[in-house]
Amino acid sequence: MLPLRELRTYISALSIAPIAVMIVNPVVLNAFVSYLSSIAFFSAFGLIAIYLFLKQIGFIKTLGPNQQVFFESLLLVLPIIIPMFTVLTTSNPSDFIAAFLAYLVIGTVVSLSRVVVGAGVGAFGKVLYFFFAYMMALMIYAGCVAGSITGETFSLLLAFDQIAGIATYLGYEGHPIELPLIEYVKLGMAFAIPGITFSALAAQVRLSEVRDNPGAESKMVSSLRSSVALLTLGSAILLLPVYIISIALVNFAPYLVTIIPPVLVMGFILLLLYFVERD
Amino acid sequence: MKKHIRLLIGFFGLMTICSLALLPNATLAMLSVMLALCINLVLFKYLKPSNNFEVTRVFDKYQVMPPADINASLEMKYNGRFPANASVEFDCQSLGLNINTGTVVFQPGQKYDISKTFVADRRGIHKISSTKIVVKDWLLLSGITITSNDEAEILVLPHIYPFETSPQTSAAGLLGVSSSIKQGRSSEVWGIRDYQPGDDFKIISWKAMAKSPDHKPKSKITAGEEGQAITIVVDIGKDSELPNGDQISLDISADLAASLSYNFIKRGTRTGLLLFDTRTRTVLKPARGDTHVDSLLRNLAKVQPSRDKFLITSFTNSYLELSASEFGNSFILILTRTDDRLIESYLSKLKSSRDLIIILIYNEDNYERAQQIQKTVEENGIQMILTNHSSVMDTMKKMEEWSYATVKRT
Repeated sequence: MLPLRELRTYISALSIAPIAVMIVNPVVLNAFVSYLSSIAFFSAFGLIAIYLFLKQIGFIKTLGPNQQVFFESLLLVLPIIIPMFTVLTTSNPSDFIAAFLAYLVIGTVVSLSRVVVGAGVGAFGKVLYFFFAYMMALMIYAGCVAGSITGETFSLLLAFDQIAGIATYLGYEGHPIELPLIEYVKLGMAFAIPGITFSALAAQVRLSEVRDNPGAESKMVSSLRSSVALLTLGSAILLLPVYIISIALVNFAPYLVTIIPPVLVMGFILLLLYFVERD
Repeated sequence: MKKHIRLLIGFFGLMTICSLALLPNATLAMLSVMLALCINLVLFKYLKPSNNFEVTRVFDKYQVMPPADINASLEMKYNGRFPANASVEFDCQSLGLNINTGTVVFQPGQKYDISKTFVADRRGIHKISSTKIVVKDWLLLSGITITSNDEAEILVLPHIYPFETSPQTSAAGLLGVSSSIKQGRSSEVWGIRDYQPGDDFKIISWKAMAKSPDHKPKSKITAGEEGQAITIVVDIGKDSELPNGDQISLDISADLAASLSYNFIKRGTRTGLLLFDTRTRTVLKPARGDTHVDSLLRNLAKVQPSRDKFLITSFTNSYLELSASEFGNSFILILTRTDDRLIESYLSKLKSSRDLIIILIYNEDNYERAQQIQKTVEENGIQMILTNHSSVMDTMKKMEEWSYATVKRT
């Protein structure tokens, strides 16, 4: 029987629910099934699976530095290079898209697994993996939804449009689509944000504990659970001003709603920290 | 850059990317973690849990004779109102002691005791570092270090090897005359010995001189007489830092000097100590008593190899100038230098009316040279004992015999 994991693992697992909603739904599963017949899709999975297996058994570490770079690059880039030939010869991008989707799926699953059970991952790592998983899941979902509308199974262009906010500032005209399950995702995120905060803070405590004493049992995390929970609560309370500023801003500058409120609140807190640290 | 600042900058960068990518959910997730980090740092600075620690460090011994177990105990109490993370550490590098509690979560009013026994087996003054308390915030990102002003020293004296004969036996008692507690002389004559330069003319026994076959001057041994003095000269030159077993040659010199002086003084013989390299560095004139023993042992515990080599020429001059009334007529020279080509010729010059025995400390690298020196010196009538880390006990035995022979001669 497997030993029960810590509270932070369960909270992390619950925090990824909104991401799971985006990748485990009929639209995405249909697209996935339709690509199962694609050799490019399989070869991408196969090569990356071989890479992960060789990494797991420690084979890659036994190679010299140059050989390691060559071998890793080969296994990771080859799945996207092979469909390139099809694109060049037949002008049909379906193999390329299939390989790309395989990358996105693998990336999302790996990132989610790192969020939930990633050993040696601190607060920054947890949040970074969460961000990657969220972004890739969003692309998968948006691409599949758009593909089902346009009849391409997976629309690569519209998948990129979903996360192309920065490009729109530079004049790119993106066409983000309204996703059917996005309300559930938003609702899930209301719980996932405190969850991932708790999980990230607990992971940071564990990481510092391991750095101090590599052989230590995870005592600090349980001893500091109440402190971490209080800090999470504090951060949730401080998100309220962000919400209030966002409501005030959304009517006349909706494109700034993701920038101004967080920067204002964060700037205020950093200023406070500066003065406190200076004393 | 501090760890927490690095982390905040990283999060800020990531949050900016999410903001610009118009991903509100991801932005809020970043912001939430950043806010939690900042609250943690602000509260840590504001509440100052570091001011609420009481740490007491105690060692059960500060002066020991090796090998000895020393118990170090550490008591910590946290008087704050919120839990705090702290680690406490101190060390003594020379004795291999390192106490580090690792980061521990202290609940308000909680006590934490730690005790460790370590072995003090290396002669010298061993510095115990100040106790350092590192109080960390609740996410272990930043910390405040408090160093208490409790630096201490542990004095590990040289090892003392006892003579085989107990100080109470008659043979041992002959070594020095100490029956009278009072200083000065009485008219009670206990025996006759050879005249020694520096003897008061009033104690010269003209009758004994006339009766003796060689007609050499004789002195009376009277009750309360300060008795014969022995001076031990220790070479503390650069060569004394040569490895010898697990130790250095000076450790063996110090052990021998300490053992000899302790045994001599216990038997009533006034014993002195000279530490010499290019010149006399420390002089402890022959005396008796516990205070003197303590002073000798402390000096031998502290002594470290000098940066200069032992100079036999310089030593010869100093030796010949030593006053017999102050330093006595019996000398033990504990030598570690062998590479000087003048050693044999100058040591041979030390042959005089004085009793001199040389103990030459060797190691496996200079054994042949030591034998060569011994051969030449003994041909010139000076007794020399070769010793190393494994033959200290044998040397002590020989020195015990030498000391009784010295008494018989006088």
